[in-house]
Amino acid sequence: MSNLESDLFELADTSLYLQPTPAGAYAAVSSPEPNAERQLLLTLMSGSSSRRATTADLVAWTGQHTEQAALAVVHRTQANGWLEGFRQPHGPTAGSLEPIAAQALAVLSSTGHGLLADAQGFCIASRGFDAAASEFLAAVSADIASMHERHARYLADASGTSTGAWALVDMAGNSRVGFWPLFIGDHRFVLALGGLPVLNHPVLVDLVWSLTVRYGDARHLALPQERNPR
Amino acid sequence: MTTTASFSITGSVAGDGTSTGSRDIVRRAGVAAATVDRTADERAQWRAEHLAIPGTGHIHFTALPSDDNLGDQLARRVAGDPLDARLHVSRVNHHVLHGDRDRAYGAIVDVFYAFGSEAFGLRHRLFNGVRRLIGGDRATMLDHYLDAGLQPDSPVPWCPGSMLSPGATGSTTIVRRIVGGAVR
Repeated sequence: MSNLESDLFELADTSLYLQPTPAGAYAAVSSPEPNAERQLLLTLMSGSSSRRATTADLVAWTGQHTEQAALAVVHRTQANGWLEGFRQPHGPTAGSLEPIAAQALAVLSSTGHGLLADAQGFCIASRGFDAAASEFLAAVSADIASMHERHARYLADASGTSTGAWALVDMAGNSRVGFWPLFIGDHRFVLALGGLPVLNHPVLVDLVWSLTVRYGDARHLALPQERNPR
Repeated sequence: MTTTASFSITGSVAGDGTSTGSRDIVRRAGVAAATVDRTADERAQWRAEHLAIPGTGHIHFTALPSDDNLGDQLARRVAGDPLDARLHVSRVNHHVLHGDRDRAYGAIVDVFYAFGSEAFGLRHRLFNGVRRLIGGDRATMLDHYLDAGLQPDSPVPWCPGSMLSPGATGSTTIVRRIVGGAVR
């Protein structure tokens, strides 16, 4: 049996352009608490395109002091299914945020009902809900997020989970509308989805990446250096 | 213009002879009492037991009162309790009985994710039961993972309907572990 503390790691493939998976994109922004995995994922989404990494890059992107510590962070991240690489660089869709969000919202719910709101209750984009419902849910999203923030410490103890997501549920406990907070830099957004959430859809990466590029906090990230493709 | 309907109380004793009570307490005047279509229920029961994947028809799932359709309810419960084999069997069979190839594929992919390399017998049986329904390309892809199951970092083409997939579609071997100079 291996001793994880003494294991050594090496970069397996330096030709891959790295980016978060959909689960990785969600993990990156589902909590405001910083950690090395989250820093890596947010750094990968801080630029307009995915990048290839050297070991030195990974040391900077994970905030670690040694190459082995950085590679261990990457290994944990990939083992969770949060990190992937492609032969070609990818990036968030160009253009303004509203159409990107609207396109994403259409497929992130099994019923096509979705909404993205900011911390003030402003509806950035909405699909499937009528105008009045969108306005109402955006306002509720802000209230729920604010309430959760006030009670987060005690809710974690009481519920045994650290999730910040809330839902309106039916008799069987199934969510009719769920509210998922997205913490990006100093900003907090709320993703409200009707029906069954589809948060492992590739379009979630596009949405979170688009938000991170616009609202991410560069102060806490080791931004990838711009350089020519190798 | 509004219409006024009149209703009558159907009686204080359940009229269908069941011990579970009747929901037909009040009915619209002049309309015949609702009857339970036992034949349809029995047919559904027979289908569930005999047209399911062989050897799994005796495993039943009790639906909870919910606004969700049964497929969504099973999907949510699999996401909430991925190691409950009974839920996986019921979910796969539900989509098999409805001939829904996409959702059957999502359900069988979740069986592969849920148990990893464990539960080979269950995975093998359910996979053989849906192999034809999900189609050749998907079956060939899953064949590759039949022995070891899927791990969170297993790259799989985007699979709509899967609740347990993290959505990795690219290469997921960025870093590898080495011990004494040997790659593991």
